[in-house]
Amino acid sequence: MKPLFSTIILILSIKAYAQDCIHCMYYRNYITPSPYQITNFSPVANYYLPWWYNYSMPHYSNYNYPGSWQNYGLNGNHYAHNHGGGMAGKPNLYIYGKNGTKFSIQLEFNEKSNLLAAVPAYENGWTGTVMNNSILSNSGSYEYIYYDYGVDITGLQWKKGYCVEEKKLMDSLNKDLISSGFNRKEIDDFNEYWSFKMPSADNYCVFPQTDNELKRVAKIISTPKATLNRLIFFIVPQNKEQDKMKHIKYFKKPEKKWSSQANQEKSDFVINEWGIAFLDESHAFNQ
Amino acid sequence: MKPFIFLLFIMASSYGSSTFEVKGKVSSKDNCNKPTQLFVSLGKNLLYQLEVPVNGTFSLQLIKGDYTFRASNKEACEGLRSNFKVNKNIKNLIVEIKREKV
Repeated sequence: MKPLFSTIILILSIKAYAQDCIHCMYYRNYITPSPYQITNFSPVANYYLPWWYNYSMPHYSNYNYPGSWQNYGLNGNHYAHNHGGGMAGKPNLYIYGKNGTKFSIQLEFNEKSNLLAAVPAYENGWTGTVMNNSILSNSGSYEYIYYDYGVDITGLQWKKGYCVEEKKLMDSLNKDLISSGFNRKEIDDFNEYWSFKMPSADNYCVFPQTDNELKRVAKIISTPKATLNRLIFFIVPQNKEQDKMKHIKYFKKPEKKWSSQANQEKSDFVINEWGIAFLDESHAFNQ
Repeated sequence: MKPFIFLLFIMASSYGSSTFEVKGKVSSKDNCNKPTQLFVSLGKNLLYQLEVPVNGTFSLQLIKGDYTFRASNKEACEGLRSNFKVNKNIKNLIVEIKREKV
């Protein structure tokens, strides 16, 4: 009986240690395959946990949110922005071209849109050289360019899209990314971040935005001129208790179904961009 | 009328200067090589989470406040800059990561 009791105590101690041990997560994640790697994207579960998922969790009250969050949107009072009513979180730019292609990229924002964050640092633009589908710049090698921005929601489209329940959201977004021509690596990056950072809700209405809309609020200008594949999902979480707010036009459901299209244009220099945007709760209603 | 205009001017000036640009870099003298997750927060409120390679640069537009910058990578390298006051433009914030002894 004694050895059995000791073994149980030992197992419980190891388990408790593993819960508290910050770096044990690395080893746990190495042996836990992500669901979408097994299923080849379909169905995509939104319970996949990235390696960093509990590194800093105890330090923050909103760790599994995309930023400072209120009930159904970001809290713009904590951000330096131009009150355009929305915020685009983590658009990633992937850059493809022949090895050695030198490039420069500038963002041109309209009056109510503005840059919030960037990696690498935005120095009136980004410059670099394409090398093995990565970006070589003065400060090192980057897999992609990252940026956040405050977005003027009046420049976006609010007619086409779809609404889905929570458990189908990531699967729907993945299908759109695949049919829009995004590759496996880009979609894996998307899932790693957004499976964990998507705010919880009963339903989500998704209003996809392509370069046709995005160029009105955040135009990408590149040298050499690039083929642009841009897809930002503007997501409005829907909760029953917020039904009373639905008279606001951005809470109306999409009127038409949106269907994705891969950009058929071909060139030697290609920029793929995915991202997600949310309403800025503190200013959306002033639009 | 004049005091009112002066007050408006002061308000407009302070509004214009309430946003600051912070440029920085994640560095390591401890042979840390893998990309880091950089967490930028105001108190317990996480505002940004950025992936920054070691020696990689970042830029942020921030409102006035005391921020915490916390970085970590898969090699158990970590860095922390807490109570970092942002009340002017900053060009060279360094977040240094070190290998944590386990």
